[in-house]
Amino acid sequence: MLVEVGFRNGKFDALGESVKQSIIEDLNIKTIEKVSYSEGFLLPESFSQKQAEELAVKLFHDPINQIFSVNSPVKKDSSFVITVQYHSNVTDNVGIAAEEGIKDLGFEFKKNEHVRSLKKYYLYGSLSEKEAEEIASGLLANKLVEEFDVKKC
Amino acid sequence: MNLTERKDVKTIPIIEMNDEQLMDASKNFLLSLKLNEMKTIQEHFLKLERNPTDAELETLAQTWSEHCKHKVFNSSFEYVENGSSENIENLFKETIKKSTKEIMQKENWLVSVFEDNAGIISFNENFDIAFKVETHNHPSALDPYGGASTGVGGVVRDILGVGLGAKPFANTDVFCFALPETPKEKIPKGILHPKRIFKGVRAGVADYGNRLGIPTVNGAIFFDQRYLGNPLVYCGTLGIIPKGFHQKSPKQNDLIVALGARTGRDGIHGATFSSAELSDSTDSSAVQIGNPIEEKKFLDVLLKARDLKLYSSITDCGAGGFSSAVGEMGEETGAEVFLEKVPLKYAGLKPWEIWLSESQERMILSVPEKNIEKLKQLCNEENVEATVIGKFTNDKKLKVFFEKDLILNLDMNFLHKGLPKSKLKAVWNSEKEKATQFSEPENISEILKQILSMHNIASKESTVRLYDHEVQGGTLLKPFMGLTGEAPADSSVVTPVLGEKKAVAVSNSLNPWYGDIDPYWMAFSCVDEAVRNIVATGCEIERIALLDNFCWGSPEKEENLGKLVRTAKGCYSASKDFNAPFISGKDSFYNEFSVNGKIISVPGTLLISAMAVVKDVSKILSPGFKKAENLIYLTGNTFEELGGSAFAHLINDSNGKVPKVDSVKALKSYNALSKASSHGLVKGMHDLSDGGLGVALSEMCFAKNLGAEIDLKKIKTGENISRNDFLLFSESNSRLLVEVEAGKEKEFEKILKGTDFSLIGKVSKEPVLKITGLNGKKIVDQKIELLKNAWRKTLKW
Repeated sequence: MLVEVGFRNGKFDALGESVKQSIIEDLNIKTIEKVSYSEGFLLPESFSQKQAEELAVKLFHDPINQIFSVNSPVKKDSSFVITVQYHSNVTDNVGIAAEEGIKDLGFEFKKNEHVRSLKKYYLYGSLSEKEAEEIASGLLANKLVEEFDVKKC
Repeated sequence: MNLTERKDVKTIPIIEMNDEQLMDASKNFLLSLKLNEMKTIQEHFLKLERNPTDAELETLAQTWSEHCKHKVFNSSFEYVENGSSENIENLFKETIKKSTKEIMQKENWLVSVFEDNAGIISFNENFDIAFKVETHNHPSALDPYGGASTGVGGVVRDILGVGLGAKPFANTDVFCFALPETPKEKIPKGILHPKRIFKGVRAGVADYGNRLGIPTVNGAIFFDQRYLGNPLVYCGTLGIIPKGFHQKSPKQNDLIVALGARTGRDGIHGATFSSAELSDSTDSSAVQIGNPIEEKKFLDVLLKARDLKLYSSITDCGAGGFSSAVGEMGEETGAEVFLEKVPLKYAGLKPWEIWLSESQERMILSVPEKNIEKLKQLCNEENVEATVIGKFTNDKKLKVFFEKDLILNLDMNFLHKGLPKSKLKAVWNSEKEKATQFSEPENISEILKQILSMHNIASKESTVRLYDHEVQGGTLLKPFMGLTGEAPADSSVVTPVLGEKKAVAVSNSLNPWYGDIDPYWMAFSCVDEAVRNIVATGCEIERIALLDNFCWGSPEKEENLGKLVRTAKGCYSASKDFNAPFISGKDSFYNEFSVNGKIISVPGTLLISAMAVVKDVSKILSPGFKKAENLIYLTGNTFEELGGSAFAHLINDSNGKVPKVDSVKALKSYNALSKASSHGLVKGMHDLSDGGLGVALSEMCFAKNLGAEIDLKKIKTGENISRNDFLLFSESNSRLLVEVEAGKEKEFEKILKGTDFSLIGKVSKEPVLKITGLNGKKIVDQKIELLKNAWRKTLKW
């Protein structure tokens, strides 16, 4: 069950903006038009869609600036989406904090059930697959600690 | 007591091994131990008539690592300088520590030096101050964000674990990178691009420091291509501790309490790994992930527990994890640990992994049994986990159990004193310093702009502004000052006790380019600059204390060691001359990487960090020019010293004489300046370092967009100098630019009598820098705005 939280259209997405600048300045890919950043929380399978939505409302998202989605992309019409998450053997503090927050709201976890966090970057503009791959490996993910996935939309 | 066989505990059959097998074992288990060390372990276990367990061997490797035991500095040396040989019994004791010892005989303000996690000096009648600078180079090369943030977390824990715990009140951070514009195709496989490293490192430092609520007040960034595969990341923290809390010792039967985060597989082999060179096959278990919120929680708990005197000793879990923390704490007593009690992040860790893990945000306390409930209660209130994992004993043995089985049983004496001493050979050959070879460029104005935009000189504002330097409310002299907030300050002044008249000044200095010519003068120059930066605060200074941080290449090369010995000798002389003792330090070796099979070593890089007690905070001066018509003095003496200078690098000349120091004259000049300043005659002061007079003048103008009119003919020089570029860009040491209130020149000169100084011009209202050359012609006539743009553009991202 994946809860995704992104910015509403028109609200300032500082991280997305800074990634866009780096793509232009550091990777010299000038065709990038926009980057939208979203945070994802992978809940254990035992959580229902309804529970996931409840957590998104109560815990993960700020209704004034952000929107959320469950098990579907929070942004549409991008050319690529890059997902980055820590390798499973690397400590994921955001995931741990999310888990604590969920427990504080009275939800229970079964043994060995955990929350993992991930980051999604929606890329807009005319980009080649090679460029998207370069953005992922050269800027957004460090293969030593993270794994990434590049998806053409 | 016999060790128990278990499935998850391996016994390593080292007593049967030959030399080759011993070295294979050292390599395969990533122990980073040398043959003579492996043989010493073999002999020890031969006597015990048994083989070591994996936990025992790992513990020995960690405790005997370069990282933990500073093997190189504690070695004896045959040092050959220009063909003549000298024996050094112990490099550390005969250089760095020697000056401290000598100064301690006449000064009484050194509270704790070289024995704890940080050095401590006396601040006022109620408090002492601790300072420590650490390096986190290898982790930052692999994961810049994580490496740098855990670097900050680690040094903050050093301060929390010094004495019975100091409260961190300021951070300093210094980085060395390759040029951010390095073309992609020049980056060897397995190495991250320097701009990516830079951005990751500064984000890591900012995120960790800001979230902990500790201001990052001072730092430096140095660029050189030799840092391409091996950046340097120095993280420093200052802390304040009530008087009488600097001593600690665990007592027999005190409980061993693990406090803070849970233990995972993170960062196993960090200590031994930092003692090996980087390769692109390095695996992810060496990387730790930081969590500042966790650290902030126990920071608050610990300070409360300290004031209630709930524990008898404390240390941080750094490199080597529990093995290092418990092993060191229990050296004089002995300790028993029950690993199954350690709270884990997830199941499946082998016993030795729990013991050696370098999971972040953990501390070890020794707690008398009667206090444990109170401590647990405090921890509960802040949501901090505290777990009893063992107790201190009196048998001077380190014993580790897992599910009642003894898996480690080591003699404390062998663990801490068994390391065989090595004898190393170090060679240093000086080449005769050649005069600068290039001819005087025609357009000095253009050169000035180019020097201002060189990476090492350009404004670091875009980085500094990511850091919160105001939190806690004690930052008085900030990284950037002046009406425009754009003039860089030489050092920072922070008051850890709000409302107190006294404060702490802190500064950093490094310049490996001088070391390329002569490491002795690199060390001397760094100490002089660090001290000079503090003098530039304009305050009356007492108690200057220094930290040394060496980042070097492989200690297996004689010439690297030659540079090391010569640097250490420079440290000794400078420290002694300036009456500024070293109180703590750190060394990091194997800072090198290979490109197509060729090893590239970082330049021998010495960071000198200084702190001093400022007597009266109301006297602090900011560096910029304040008022038109005020007079501009240059103190100190200018020589044709362009070796290793920014100008020489711009022109691409590796010749030139490296800046020297006349410490007697320097001290006299500094004392006179402090006196003149305390009489209210001085309005602004700025030190001359990289880029010399030209850069210092420009930076002083940036503060309020005032200009300056300067005549180079008026500069008194130590030798005949007939070139404008030399006068403007020489990096001779011990010089400061001083703004003196118009009409006060007689009083000022009276105080400075007997020192070297020249009245070289005045501040002007028109925001233009005008410099008249030796031939009477104007050689610089530049709008301040243009100079500032040149200075600000290079790193403006």
